[in-house]
Amino acid sequence: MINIIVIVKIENIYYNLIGSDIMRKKNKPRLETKYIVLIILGVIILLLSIYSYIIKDKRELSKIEQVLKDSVITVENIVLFPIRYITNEFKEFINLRNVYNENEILKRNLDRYDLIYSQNQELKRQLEKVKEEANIDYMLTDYEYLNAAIVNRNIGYWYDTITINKGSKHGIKKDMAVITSKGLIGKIVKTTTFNSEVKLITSKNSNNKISVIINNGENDVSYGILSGYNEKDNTLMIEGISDNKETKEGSLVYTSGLNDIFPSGIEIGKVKKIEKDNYGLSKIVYVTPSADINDISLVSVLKRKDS
Amino acid sequence: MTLGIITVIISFILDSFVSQYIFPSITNFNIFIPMFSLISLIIVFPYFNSNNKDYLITCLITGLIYDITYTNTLGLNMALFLLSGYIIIFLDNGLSNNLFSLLIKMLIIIFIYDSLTYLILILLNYIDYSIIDLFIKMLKSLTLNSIYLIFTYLITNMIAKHFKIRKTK
Repeated sequence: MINIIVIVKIENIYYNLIGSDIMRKKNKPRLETKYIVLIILGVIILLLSIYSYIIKDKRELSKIEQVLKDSVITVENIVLFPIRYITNEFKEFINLRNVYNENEILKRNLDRYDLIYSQNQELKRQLEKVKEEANIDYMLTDYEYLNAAIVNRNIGYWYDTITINKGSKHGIKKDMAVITSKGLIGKIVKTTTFNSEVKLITSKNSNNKISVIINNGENDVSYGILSGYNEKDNTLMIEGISDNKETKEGSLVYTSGLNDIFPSGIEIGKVKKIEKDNYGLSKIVYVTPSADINDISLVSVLKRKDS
Repeated sequence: MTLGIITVIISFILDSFVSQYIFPSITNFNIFIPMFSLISLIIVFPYFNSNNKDYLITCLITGLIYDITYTNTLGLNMALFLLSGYIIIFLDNGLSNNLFSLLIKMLIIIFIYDSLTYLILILLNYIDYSIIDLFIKMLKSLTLNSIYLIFTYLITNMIAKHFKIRKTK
């Protein structure tokens, strides 16, 4: 009997305790679902706003970012040096097979080289004279070269960038043009002390636009805007070309120098095909790039003399 | 844990080397797209022996260095790598750490990581790719990264057995 009374009392105490705990939980103020959704939305919007500032090409890298980036790339270069050395030697060995043919072509061109060189010197002299007479300090075609090697390529897929081993210490600044021996490949978007990042002309970034000239022959040129890249055809897209001017397939396309970024006269490619735009008012020209964007190891950065 | 961190560091450096020398395509014609840093985070999780805090810190730091060194998108990959870390911990409750389970985890992580990156960059008007490009990118990622996952899993297993390093099953 006593046992039953004890058990009943213990049960009562237990239910009182649990019951009060449940009551306390029930009384605890809880956030409503609509507020939770609002907070989550607010956080997403805040994060997107921060990222929209961070991923801008115009944003300068902070000192800490620059130091960290330079340090990691330096360590990476040291670690990868033996593997890079072996890879390069192997590539050179494969290239040796073509040396004989290349040498024959070079021998044939060597005779013409002297003639072109003397013509070039004469044109330079004449140009300097004209500049002196017209009191011009610089022209859009004036630039200096700075050679660099690639240390990273398009990691992260979406960004269409390469990293080169020259930075602000070597005089590299934002928006300088980057070329190979065959033509334009991109422009500098970010610099650190010892490295720089190049945004390629094939980038599908909506801000990647370049003013260009299409040489129609006999002093007739058309101006347009390089505004896209077609992966399937490997062609660059040029828009805004007047329908009144005749453009031929095979015409040379080069930079106009009008956008304060690139010097003029840097080759971009040759016209592959011409189409009318959706409204029939202007033409869209598709250009095959002169530089093989997928096979680059050395590049030159062009510094416009007025910059 | 040390083996895990070393694997992540090697994978991070290999990310750069493979994209530069083995499949050196700059434009997106490339058939193989390395994502070794992210994949290594899936492989090394068992070596943290349920020490989730250290594992998440490793994910966070890897993402941060990845941002600074490769993409200049400070914070983006840091957040995505951290999220991937949480997902890997969550998946660990249902899936074991054998090779087949790791491949399934890889599929899920690549899908979430790529979709979120694409979504954020599209929302911010940074890129102009179609949704088809996203799926092509995912497909291109799978082949090389599966091979890397299998290869790294076998090597880390071998090292762990040789040095008697403990890991969760």
